[in-house]
Amino acid sequence: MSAAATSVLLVEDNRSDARLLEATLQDAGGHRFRFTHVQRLAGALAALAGGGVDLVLLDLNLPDSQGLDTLAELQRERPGVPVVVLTGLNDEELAVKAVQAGAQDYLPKEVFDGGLLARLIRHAIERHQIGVELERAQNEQLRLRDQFLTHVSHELRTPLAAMHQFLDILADGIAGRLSDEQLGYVQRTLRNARQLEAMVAELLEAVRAQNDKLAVEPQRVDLAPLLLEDAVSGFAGQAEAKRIRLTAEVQPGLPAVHADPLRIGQVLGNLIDNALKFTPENGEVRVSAEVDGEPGFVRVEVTDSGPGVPPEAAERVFERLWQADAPDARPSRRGLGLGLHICRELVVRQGGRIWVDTHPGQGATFAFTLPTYQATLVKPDP
Amino acid sequence: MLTNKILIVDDDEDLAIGLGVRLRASGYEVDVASDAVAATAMARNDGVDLVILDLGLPAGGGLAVLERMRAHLPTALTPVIVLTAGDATLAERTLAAGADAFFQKPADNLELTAAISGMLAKAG
Repeated sequence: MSAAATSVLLVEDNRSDARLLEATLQDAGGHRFRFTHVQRLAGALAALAGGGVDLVLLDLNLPDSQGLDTLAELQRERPGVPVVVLTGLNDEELAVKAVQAGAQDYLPKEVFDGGLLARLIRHAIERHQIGVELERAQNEQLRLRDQFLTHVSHELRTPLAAMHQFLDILADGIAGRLSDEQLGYVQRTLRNARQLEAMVAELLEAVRAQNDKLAVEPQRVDLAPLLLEDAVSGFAGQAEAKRIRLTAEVQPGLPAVHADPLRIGQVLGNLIDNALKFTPENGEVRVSAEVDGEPGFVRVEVTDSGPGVPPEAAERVFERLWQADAPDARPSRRGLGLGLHICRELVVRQGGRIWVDTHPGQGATFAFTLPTYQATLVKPDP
Repeated sequence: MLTNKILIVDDDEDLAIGLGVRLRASGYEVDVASDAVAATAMARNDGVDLVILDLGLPAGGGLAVLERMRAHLPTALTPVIVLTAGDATLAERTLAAGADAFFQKPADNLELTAAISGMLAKAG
């Protein structure tokens, strides 16, 4: 039992309820409480401004705020102080919702056992402390892991660069002319080296995505040049190699979106790359952009004529480490399976959704939405 | 016609050799320094026209080499390309310290050689 008194802020507009509560707790065997009493939420925010309060006893229905909004505003303006909500008869449902929203506990006003009340308050404060410690430990662990992965990826890049350089030198004939067979083997090795490099880069991006360091800088973006020129033309060679018809279609008059052009490029690149990998020879991959059914959004789709995605997998494909075999890939050959997970992170960060419509045997359509630039200029209704 | 001399600063032997082979094939004369002290000395004294600089160097680090080069009149304007296995977030700092370009390993050879010839043409 600590020697210092527990400082409690009592936010209750009913004076007699407040007096009763204080009296009950003052008698609570052995433990000392120091009370400050305010009657409005505004008063509570002011009283908490200077710190020094160990716990808030909060009546949800005050003259200047009602119900769960009271709790929400308190948490938003003065985070970091444990809250126990005061409830009347028949308010249990509201009380449970309050706990789900982050209150440590609830206290029915009709309970008059001082010892019980005191214990409840002490436990609420302890639970809060444990939560704070846990968050700190989790953040520290993430920081250490990030540091480790950054270091590892740095170390991996050096031998990869050396390998790549000498393979390039051989392939370019700088060290002497190669036979066709030799050149073929060197190029095969180069392809593997590039794959390794891509995986290392993806690994680092995935770690950053998790730690929220994946920078997204939204701006006004016109999708037509991005889709038609950059994304599709970049894959023309890959499509031609499998004789796949790769087309792009942008709805005329498509509104500009509010998004990060670099990130959209990455998402599109990932989806088109997957589509090309999973579509057999002579197939078709279509990229399109149009106004979405949901107002204020534009929808981009990448449709392929591959085997499609089994319906049970439609959600899981966006989880980390989901892997699928491309039909022409060797069974032992899989990427890290991080691409779609990062795509979802990036799309969600820009305010959109991403999903897959699939008809097994008839191909799949990966689609994502982005908010229109216009929509972001209008303040949402309060 | 005078051949341009490029100083490769990297403590990784394989990378230094590999890059050297490629640059010589492109017609440049190449020298190699594998720590910060040698790098600073060679950049100053050996008629170097361009420096390719790794950041993680023993005896001081690449950033220190760059700063010393920029503080010393004969090397204040020598083109420096930073080529590092480190993070792309280092780019801002190195460019602010006076580097002319930032490349992350493994660098695309075409882009790197284009940057080199561009800088040498400008320096005249």
